[in-house]
Amino acid sequence: MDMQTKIDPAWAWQPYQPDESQPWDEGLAAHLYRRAGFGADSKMLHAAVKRDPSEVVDNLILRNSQPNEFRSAADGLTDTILATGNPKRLSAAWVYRLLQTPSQLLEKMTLFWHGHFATSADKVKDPSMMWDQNKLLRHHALGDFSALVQSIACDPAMLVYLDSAINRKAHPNENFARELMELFCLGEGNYSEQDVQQLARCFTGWEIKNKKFRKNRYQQDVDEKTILGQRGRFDGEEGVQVVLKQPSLEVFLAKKLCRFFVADSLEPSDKLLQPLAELFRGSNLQIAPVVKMMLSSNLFFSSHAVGQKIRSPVELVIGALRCLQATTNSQLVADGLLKAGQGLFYPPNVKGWDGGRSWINSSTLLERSNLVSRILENDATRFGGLSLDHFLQSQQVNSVHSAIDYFERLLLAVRLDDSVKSLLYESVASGTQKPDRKYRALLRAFLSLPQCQIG
Amino acid sequence: MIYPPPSFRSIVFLATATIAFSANAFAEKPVRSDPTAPELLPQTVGVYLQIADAEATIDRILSHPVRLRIESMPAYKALVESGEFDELNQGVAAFEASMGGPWNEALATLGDRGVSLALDSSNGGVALLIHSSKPKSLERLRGFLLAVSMMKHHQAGVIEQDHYRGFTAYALDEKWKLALINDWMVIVNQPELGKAVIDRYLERPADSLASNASFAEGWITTEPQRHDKPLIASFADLERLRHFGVPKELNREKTDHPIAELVFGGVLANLIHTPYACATLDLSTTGVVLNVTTPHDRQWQSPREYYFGEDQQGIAPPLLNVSDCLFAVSAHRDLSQMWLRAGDFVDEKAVDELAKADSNLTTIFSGRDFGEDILGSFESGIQIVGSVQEFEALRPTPAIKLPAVAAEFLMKNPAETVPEMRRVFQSLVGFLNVVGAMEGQPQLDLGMQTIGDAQLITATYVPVRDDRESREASIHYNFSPTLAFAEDRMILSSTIALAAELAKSAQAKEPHVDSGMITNTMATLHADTFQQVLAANTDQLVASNMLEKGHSKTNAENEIAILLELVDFLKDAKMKLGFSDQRMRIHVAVNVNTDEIE
Repeated sequence: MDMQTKIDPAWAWQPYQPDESQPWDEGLAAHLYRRAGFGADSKMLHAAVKRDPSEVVDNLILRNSQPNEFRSAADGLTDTILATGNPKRLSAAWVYRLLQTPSQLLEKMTLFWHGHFATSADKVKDPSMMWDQNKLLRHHALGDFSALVQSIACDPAMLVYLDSAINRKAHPNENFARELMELFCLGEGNYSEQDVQQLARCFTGWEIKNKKFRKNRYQQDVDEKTILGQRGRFDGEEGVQVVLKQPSLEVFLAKKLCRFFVADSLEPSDKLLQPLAELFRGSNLQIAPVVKMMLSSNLFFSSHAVGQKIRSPVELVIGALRCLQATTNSQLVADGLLKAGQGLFYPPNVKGWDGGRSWINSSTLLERSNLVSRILENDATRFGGLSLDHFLQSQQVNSVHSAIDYFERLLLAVRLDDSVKSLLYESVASGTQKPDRKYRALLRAFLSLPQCQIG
Repeated sequence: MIYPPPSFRSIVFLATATIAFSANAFAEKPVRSDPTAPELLPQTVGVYLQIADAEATIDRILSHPVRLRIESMPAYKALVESGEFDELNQGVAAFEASMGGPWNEALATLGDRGVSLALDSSNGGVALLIHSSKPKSLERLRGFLLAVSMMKHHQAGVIEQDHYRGFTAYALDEKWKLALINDWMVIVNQPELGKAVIDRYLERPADSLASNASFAEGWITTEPQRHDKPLIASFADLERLRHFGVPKELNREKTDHPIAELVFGGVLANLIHTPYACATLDLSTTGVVLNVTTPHDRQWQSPREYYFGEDQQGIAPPLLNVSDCLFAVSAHRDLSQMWLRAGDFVDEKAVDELAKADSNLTTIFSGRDFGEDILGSFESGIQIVGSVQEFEALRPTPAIKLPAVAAEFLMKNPAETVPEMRRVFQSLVGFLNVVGAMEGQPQLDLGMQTIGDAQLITATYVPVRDDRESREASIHYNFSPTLAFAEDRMILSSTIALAAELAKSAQAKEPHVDSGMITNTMATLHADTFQQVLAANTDQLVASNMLEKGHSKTNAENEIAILLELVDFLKDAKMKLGFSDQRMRIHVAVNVNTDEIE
């Protein structure tokens, strides 16, 4: 799609105003919750359509400060799990958080930053370091990007992952400097090799001892450096500031956020991204205003965005469970997400997850389906604390036909053909299974549909 | 239009009316009256289980103090009121309506002369025989079961029937059939088995389960020769089951796991040869006891002599006794023989693993052969004990609180063995420190203590400065590995405190032989200390519950509280494995806490 000729930047980021051609309905509300979080149940959708879309977006942004009770329980759970020394338990604790949090956007952004500042427990190994980083990402997720980058530059897990736990004056370690510019802030082509070498000198003396960050002044290179056209006796923090001032930063970040929230295949021009970039820079690199602009925009609610993302394993599984108020075995989900290609705390490499079409290949597609099966067959999986048939009854869904419509409404970004609905109906209606098993079989079939892989 | 299903009562009436005219009006008469269940079953029965007196069984269960305590628990009441058991309650109500009285009285009457379950090894047939002094109650039960069957299969007024020698068999579903034979109810899944029962009822031929030599010999150990009838008695014709390859393990000479071999090897040696096994289950106010008895022969022991001991002298040493004891295990195992002859009783894959381990261990032990020289320097008795640790004063305090565990061995030649083991222990500590440093783990500090004549070589984890006062420290701080030598005893312990306690304690007396049986293995688990361990780790249990069941913190805490309350019902669990020249016996007892029971 030639986005450059089709989309008017002036129109794209204007706030969406419902009208007859594009009313604010449950379909768009579900789209908003799928993208801004993981999904909404029937009650949330019902409440959302009674309000203005801008109000709903505002509420999603405002809820980024979690209620104390939830934060206390979720943090306490993770702190307790750390004692096992097993990072896989940490993944399970995050799944639990994703399923239960009232602040979906905060968790979605934390997940985004986890893929952006990719750090894997495979290499770091120490779960307490990984948890500290996760808390850092969450703290800054919708806040100040500069503070986020400064914090991540001193994060022990990040430095261990990038082999930057030691950085000597005589041989500056270029790993972190390179990734800071290429992957975290500026993108390819916006810096030179010399910039990498000079920036690496800023971080000399930065090291990790006993899992803690410290500055070794004996190893610090205090001489003058020239980075990205700036000259000075920069230390690490000042080096980061130089990078953050680069004009390519806001466009780079805006593009990434756009791809994450709006559409996978979006290749927006710099012109299209300009309003977002200006807002980002103008607000002193505050993340929330940019996200709000995106989630409130015409482009976001248009056909360029609705149904134009392939759901990641987390979005598919957590989304389905949240839409149906489900609770389950979080460890089972965490282990399955790893096999499906999106292990929490286990990004595949320093670039994080590519997303988009890379989520779907012959092995991940099979694993997505298997994971859904394992979850639905597990006795711990309950829906609103009930069996699935009782839960559906509580939602006034009393037949297979109405269950198909119910799942379509909550789970799908695109409508199903009647032929597909008939096939779904026939696959379960004739069986002699108990109602709970029957509806679980239907849900499994639903979540395996190609249409359900799109969000 | 959708018609409502017929009411349960109407179905029962219909079922009763339909079968009233097809009852066994033209049945043949038996040769003799009052057969026993084994006399009605064919010789090919592989597994037989009997509840001799259902009334006594139900009475014992319903009046048991533990049951009364469970019912008084608020969690139980909440569960009952939650609606989870509505379907079951409806079924019970329907049953009571059919039987004309409370379910417990009905069941007691139905099975007052015995309830038996049999598995026919020749065709996989299963038979349930219910013998009642009141045939009328059996008729009511028949009506109830047929009504349930009709409801389940959405039938009304249609019951498939077969006739055999004047008796009528009613189909409960495609597989299962039910027949009344005077004061017996027979339910089978194979028509041939049902016919065999009827034939034996009428003719009383010589060949039946009762005339099976193995059954006759084994049943004596369970049955009413004892003045106190067991709750449940059972018999398994292992020779017959092995012939049919069920279960597979009974035909395997070798195990696939060395630990399983160490624990169960002798039992397996017996089960792959013994013709039968009998088991009884008893319930009293103090607990539940399971006894399993099989014939035994010394010739079956080969090649597992390491398990039984030479000349049948494989006596387990006494159980170790320590304060706050969690569990104690004692066994006779000649570890040296087991290691050297492993190829005779573990499979190839396990042998490969042991060979690799042997190579590494020989290196650690300075070139001395691990199996012959190292393991061979100890006597054949193994004693293992676990106890609850005191964490209150311990700093740093680990977040996960594990019990301390120790193993005690008798050295054949302390003068040689002590310096050898001391060297190896020091080497191992050094090795752990090097590996630990690479992984960022705390380091072990070696030390030495003397308690009387006992010598202790200790290793203590040194906390990093910031962790010294931590109350959520890593799991390492549960351990202070210690090797202790007291006369001819060597103690390997996970903590200094437990090693010191064992080193100070006098040697236990020799065990005695119990009723001609040599106790080869015994174990005890103390429920009160087990509860202490669980309670000390409540946070971890709650966290696991939240992750594995998706519960909120409150619900998880409630569930763990119930678990702790249920463990509080228990006092201890004991196990004994004994052998004589003729018998092997496994005795398992779970005792309940009667302290709070009125």
